[in-house]
Amino acid sequence: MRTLRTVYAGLVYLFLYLPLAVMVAYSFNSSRFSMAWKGVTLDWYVKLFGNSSLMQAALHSLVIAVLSATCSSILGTLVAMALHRWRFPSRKVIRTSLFVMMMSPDIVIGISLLVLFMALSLPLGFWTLLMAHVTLCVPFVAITVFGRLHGFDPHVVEAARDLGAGEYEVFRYVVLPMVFPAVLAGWFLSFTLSVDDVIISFFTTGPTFEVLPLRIYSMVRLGLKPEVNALCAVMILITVVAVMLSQRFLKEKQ
Amino acid sequence: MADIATQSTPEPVVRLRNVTKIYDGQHALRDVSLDVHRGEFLTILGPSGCGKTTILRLMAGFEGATSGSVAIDGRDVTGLPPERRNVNTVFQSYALFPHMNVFDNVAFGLRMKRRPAAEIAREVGDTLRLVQLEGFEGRMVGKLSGGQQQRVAIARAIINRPLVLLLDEPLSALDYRLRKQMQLDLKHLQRKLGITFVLVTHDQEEAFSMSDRVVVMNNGHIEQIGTPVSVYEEPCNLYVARFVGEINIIDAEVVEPGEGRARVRAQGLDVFMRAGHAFKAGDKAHILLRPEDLRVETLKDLAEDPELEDAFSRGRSIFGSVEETIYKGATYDVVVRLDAGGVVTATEFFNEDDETVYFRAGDRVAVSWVEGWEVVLPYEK
Repeated sequence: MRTLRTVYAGLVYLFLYLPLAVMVAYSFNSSRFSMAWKGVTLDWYVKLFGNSSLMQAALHSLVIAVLSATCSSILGTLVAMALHRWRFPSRKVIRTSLFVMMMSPDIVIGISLLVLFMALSLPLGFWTLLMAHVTLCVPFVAITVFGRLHGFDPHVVEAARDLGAGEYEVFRYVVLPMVFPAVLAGWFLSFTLSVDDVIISFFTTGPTFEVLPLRIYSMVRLGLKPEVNALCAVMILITVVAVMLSQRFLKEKQ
Repeated sequence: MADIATQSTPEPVVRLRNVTKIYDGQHALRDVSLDVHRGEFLTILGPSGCGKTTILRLMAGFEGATSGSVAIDGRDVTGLPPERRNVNTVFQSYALFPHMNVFDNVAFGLRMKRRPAAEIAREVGDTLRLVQLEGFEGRMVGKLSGGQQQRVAIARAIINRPLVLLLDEPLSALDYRLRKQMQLDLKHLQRKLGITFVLVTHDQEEAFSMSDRVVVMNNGHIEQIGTPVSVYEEPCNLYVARFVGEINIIDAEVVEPGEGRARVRAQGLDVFMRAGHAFKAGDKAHILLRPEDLRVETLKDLAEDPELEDAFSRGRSIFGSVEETIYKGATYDVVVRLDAGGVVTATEFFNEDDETVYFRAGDRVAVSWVEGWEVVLPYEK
């Protein structure tokens, strides 16, 4: 029974991670064109970091990810606090719409944003992409922070007011420090969402501002190159680190 | 200085006048008026949902009254938020700040008042000594035991020297022994600080052992206010009598009303009893007797001992048979089925030279009590 369970778990992990493992392995394969194993090399990593247009796209992605994660952390936290603190009529509608946004297909979000930007005749590029990514990430932050606020003893805020804290002091010294781990977790979640988004970025950025996933997409269309394997391996590393950090912040002080 | 001020202002420290509170169409409080005297230990006692916590929250400012007024220190505080009221609360869940250590928790109130750091450090040290938590300053509150968290919550409140300390079932999460200890500690703390304490509890023993006065509540209104002794021995109705302890209730009829007493007929008795209520002849009534006030003797013993019989019949005795005896450790209960119907329970101490339970099921007995220890109340359905 026990071995059966281990085997089953092993199969699940294999199913999930085998493709990634294969790709990471091939990023070290010295053969350029064939899938045959020709020995270990770091050439593709060297080439990757020497490719200036690819590095440019990577930098763009990083900038957009940091900015959109930061903006959506602030906006999402404010949304969560408003939902938690006040009982206003449209409260339920807003909560539900957050979930709708999380569930709705990226392609719908992408096209609808594109239509909106065109209607407003905004030139596609940095700003439209940033707005699109913030739209994508805000619901995730709001739900994460709301969940944490919901888990609090509501008397803690009352205790602070009882001890003389006004609205601002309650926020600054009690609520913010208590939700901060969730805000940080939301930040990392937004960061990864932004870094690997293809579909929404495809519709909402222009040729002036190319981001990494789109660049990779166009590279792969011309045939699978080992540099792409190397690039993806690096991105997996970044994602794993981000996820681990966000989990740590959520767990801390529980 | 403070003492003179206290004496020259007889006005209550907290005054509730005709307060009604409605939540979602439900009355949490109906027309409640209550004065809290300066320096007293007042306990609001009642079952859950009776509105006792609502009273506390109105005093603290977390809720506003639907109608009526709340005054603290002679000043109407309607609409004044909690942070501007000179009262502090100890919450049932303690509600400590989980991201702060003990020092920061206790210092919070003084920091909000922007006191100098040196003064805060000194005050926190003094207060922690008072609640026996010296040396715990750097601990995170989540790492403390329930009893320690409780003391941090108390320290965090009293460091502000409030006019009134409000305690919302502060001991309910502690185990029995710790609760007993904390009851004593709280009582001593209150005497030492001279702060008015208002405590909410559903535990009558806790209420009696700590308070100067007890407010018994039921279903959003106050049933009785008085000292523990008066509430226990002179309950004003059946609800209070039942809530604050075991009670025997015997149905009776008033034959002849009188001044402060009434001739009452019940269970073959026809005697004058002490009665605080104005009865009319023919009114139905209840006779209330605490189990520990009852005496039980077998008819056999009474027949053999004329002196005892004489003492017994000078009281008032009712006849019945022992149904069962219940061992309680220090005492035992004798359950007696009365000849004229009904059951009473009498609490007996073990005899010094006979440590076995004296009564057997089926024994014919007489139940008696000292004249004047009974309470006669108007009949309730």
